[in-house]
Amino acid sequence: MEEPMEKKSRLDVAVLNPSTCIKDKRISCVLGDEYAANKDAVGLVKGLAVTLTSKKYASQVLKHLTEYLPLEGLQHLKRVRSVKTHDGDKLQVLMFVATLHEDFMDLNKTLNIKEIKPVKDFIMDPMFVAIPIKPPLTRDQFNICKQYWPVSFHEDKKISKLLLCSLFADDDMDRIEENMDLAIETARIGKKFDPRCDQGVVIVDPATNTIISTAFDMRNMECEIKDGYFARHPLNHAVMVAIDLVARSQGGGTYTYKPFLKSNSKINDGLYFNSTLPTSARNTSDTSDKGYYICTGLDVYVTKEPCIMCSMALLHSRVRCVFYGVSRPGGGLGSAFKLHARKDLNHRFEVFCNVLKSKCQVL
Amino acid sequence: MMDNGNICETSSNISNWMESAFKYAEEALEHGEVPVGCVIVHKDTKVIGTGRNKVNETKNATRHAEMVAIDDAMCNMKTDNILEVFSESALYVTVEPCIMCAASLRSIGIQTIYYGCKNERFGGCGSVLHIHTDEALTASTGQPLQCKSGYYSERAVKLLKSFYKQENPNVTLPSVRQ
Ligand SMILES: [Zn+2]
Ligand SMILES: [Zn+2]
Repeated sequence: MEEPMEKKSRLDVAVLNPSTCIKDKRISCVLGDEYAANKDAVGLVKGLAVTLTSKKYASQVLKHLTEYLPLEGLQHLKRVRSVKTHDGDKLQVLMFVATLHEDFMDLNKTLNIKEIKPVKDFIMDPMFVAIPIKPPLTRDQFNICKQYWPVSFHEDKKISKLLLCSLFADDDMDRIEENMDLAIETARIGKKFDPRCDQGVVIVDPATNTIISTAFDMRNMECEIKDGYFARHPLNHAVMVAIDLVARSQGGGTYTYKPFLKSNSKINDGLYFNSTLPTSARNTSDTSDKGYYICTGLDVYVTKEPCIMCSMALLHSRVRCVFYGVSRPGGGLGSAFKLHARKDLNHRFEVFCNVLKSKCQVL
Repeated sequence: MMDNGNICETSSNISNWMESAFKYAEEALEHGEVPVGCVIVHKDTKVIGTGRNKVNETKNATRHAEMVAIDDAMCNMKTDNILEVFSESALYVTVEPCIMCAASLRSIGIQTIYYGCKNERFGGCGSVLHIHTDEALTASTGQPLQCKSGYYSERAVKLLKSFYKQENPNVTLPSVRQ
């Protein structure tokens, strides 16, 4: 089964994923769904609030609630807000949250429970309110939360920078686009062998900006599988080839990629691995399991969003960061899944899209 | 769910195929690799490909047993229409395929997967994600993949445990959950 050819009128990843930044034209960050600026991400649950008969009881009531009905694990929630009533400005107090106090979520009975008795005379008008159960992770989420109930917000500077796409200085951006240009060029070389090739990959060591490997989509090209047997391998996606060539650069690797891989391959040959690295260069602690995860610390440039197989292959290889040009249906780093941002998988990495998007799109 | 040899499927061959998969898992262990093994069986009659983990040996974290077995089947069959062969074949593997392998097996159109224990860390056939059946992937990755689980899962877990114990005594072990 082949990945379908891209349609030019495909939706932008930013439209598919509201959490994706669209502010900067040069690059966008693909964050996990928990950063999305929508109601789902802040998680609204039912709360029960009451109005104070007079503001002067506020400290007394709050002191009582803090002691007897603390909102455990919900430190982002403020307990009081001011509301306008026909009787003038009043204070409204959050008494219960459904996730903590399921038994008390009853407008008629709730004021008669024993925990409330000591302050019962100071409160009135119990009503249900919507409570954002998760602390806001971004300023946009903070603004959404505030529409429902006041919360506190501790800004994560790195996330804000990612959202604003201001993490990279101009010369970083130039370097990123240079590497993507090489990925595009690599795909074009592949196209000479088969017109269906639309994927080029470049794997880089960001510490030294050294190219470790380059590869194109080889699914429709006959190359050596093993021991002189040549065939079109349905799993020879560009990313898989590039990962194997990184292994090759470290003295490992599975395939010869004959006749496409030249013995003294150069960076502009399409298929390339860096043969000048000392084999133990990046894996000093041979007793740890890091030795298997050969792409630890490496950055990957890929013209189109990797499919789910390739996305997981990158995760298994422990890459540092992935940059891609255009998203595609079924993609594993933003479209169908966001494998890089899942807490239930054992490695997370950053993903940026829309790098040289229009150039990648026409491949 | 079946376990510990109480297999009552119409195909009495399942236990034989699983037995060979375990042979390759044990071979992986002997070579210091995560002990996962598999066989690809054509029309329930003939093993056309075998594989065990070769991540260490190749320094490539994607060389899982399933990927190795796919290559082996291609080299053994030497046909121009390997996808047709795969569509008539089943994969027997000691541990649930990971997300990557589930996607690759679905994309080459393997008919059915029989596996031993769950893969709580990476499983792509239900444990972490449902790559085998997810409808969002049909256009890009092909028709859903049939999976049957629970064959000799305790034996598969035991093998994994013996590997992780020698690697790192403090690692969290995969559990058998059915
Ligand atoms: Zn792929
Ligand atoms: Zn796998």
